[in-house]
Amino acid sequence: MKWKPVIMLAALMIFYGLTIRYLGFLISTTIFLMGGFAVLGERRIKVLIGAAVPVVFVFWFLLSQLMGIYLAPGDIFEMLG
Amino acid sequence: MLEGIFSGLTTAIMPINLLMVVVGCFAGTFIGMLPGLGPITAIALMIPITYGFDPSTGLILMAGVYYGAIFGGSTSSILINAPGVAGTVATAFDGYPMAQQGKAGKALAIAAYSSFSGGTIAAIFLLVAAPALASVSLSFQSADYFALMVLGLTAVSAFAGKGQVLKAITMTLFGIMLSTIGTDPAAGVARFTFGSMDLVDGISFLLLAMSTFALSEALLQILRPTKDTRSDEQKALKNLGSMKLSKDEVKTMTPVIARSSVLGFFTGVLPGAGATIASFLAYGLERNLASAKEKLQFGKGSIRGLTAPETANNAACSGSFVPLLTLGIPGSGTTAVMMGALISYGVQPGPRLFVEQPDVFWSVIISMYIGNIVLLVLNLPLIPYISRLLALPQQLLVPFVLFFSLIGVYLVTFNTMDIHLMVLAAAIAIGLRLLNYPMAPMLLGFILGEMMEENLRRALMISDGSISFLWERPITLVILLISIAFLLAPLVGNTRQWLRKRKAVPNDGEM
Repeated sequence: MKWKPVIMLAALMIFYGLTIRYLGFLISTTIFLMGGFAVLGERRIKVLIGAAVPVVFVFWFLLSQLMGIYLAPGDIFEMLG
Repeated sequence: MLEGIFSGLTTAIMPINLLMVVVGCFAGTFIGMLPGLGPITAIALMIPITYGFDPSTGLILMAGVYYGAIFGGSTSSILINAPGVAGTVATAFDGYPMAQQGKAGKALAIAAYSSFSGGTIAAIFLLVAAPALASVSLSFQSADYFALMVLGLTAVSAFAGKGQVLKAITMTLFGIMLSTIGTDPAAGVARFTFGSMDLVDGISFLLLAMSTFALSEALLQILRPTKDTRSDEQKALKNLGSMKLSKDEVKTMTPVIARSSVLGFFTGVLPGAGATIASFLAYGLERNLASAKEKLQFGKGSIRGLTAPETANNAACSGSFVPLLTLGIPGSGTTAVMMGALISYGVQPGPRLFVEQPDVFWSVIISMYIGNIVLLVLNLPLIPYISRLLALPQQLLVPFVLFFSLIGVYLVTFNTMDIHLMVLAAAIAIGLRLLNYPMAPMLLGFILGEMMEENLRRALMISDGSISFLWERPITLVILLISIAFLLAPLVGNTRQWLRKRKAVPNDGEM
């Protein structure tokens, strides 16, 4: 039984739920995916970025541009001006 | 009816819909081949993707995913003896030995042809049976619906398998309890919400399905690492051998397909008995029918032994749509998820569907047929490419599954509370799975619980608060009596076994 990675993944999911409003879909999802890969033992920085960033952008493009689902930018950008 | 078939056909062969069948079959096969992820997960993961589509297109994608997932399960059963889906366990009995004899390609081809024939024959049955049943069920009243749902839920528990009956009943009741969270449908009062606004609408079905299946199945892969079979699978895929079947082999298969598809279809129609039971029944039937010489072949790569379960499980898949489409009552975990998808498109499955939205009704049936064709035409040649996708390492795959589950639910409500609720539900589901509690009965209890309550309340209102509606109409009474029989059957069996044991050891009582 490998509880440690499972608990860390659960913590990441909670973190995702807490931050998606503030950081916005793009940033929050990228952190979540890269964190998830890292928890499961992926250490190569190229793979971390290469597997997360394109998927997030393609998904964002599909949702907001093709399917017309409005993804609000994170609150943090409003705070910054 | 002919008009309906044509309108369904024109919908189904629109380019976008054809594309969706292909995408669905491909995605389903891929998910089905992954260890630990079953068809319920495959369908649940697809639901959010289909929100933007119209109902027919969404359903066509689902049907493709469903058949694809079953086929993907067969592939890993045959190649590496690791059934990805419970419905394909029986496939491994003869499929794996055949693959070991170097006839993997042939075994896959037999599986594909059997699945195709089973699905086709069952789709024709469905075409005939569903409208007929739908017109009968239009005369059903709330009391009858209530009784039918009780029957569906007890049947699920009764078919759960030895030693699992009580656990299945517990999970069904747990599901019904979860369905009572939210606003009372008759009085409009909030129940069991602990004063939280987020629970006033109740727990969404998609959330529950995602967290108890997709999330917990993915996390369990990490928690309880099974031997990573994907590299074996890839190796096996490299030397498939010939996929051609000889005339003799086709001759052997034909009668088996005829028998197994009928058996599978009717098993699928029964509430609670799905593809798994159908495949075992068909395998058993063929072994009993076989001559003594042929019987020796079973378990060692018999063509009949591979054909029977593969035909039956696909036929049962189609059969399980009969209660869903005609009564609006899902009989299995997978059809429950399908129903959740339908409801999310704003389509209420049931006898009125046939009257009110015939285009949806027919395109579901036609699309299942097209799903079968695509599976046969595309999946065999596509298998090498799917195997390349399997090379995606697990540490990348699991976070993606988690992300798709979370975002799928979040995009419906935009409520971050849902994400946290999912983590909680997944944690509970993992605990229950580790204790061997089945999850599908809970999902079924949850989706039927709400409808059961509505019908019960309506029946009570009509009969002025008296419970006499339970036995006033003969049909209600008969259905309820069958449910009681289902519920008592395991108890009777256990008692008889216990009595026999006591007889065998007479001194037991005196000690």
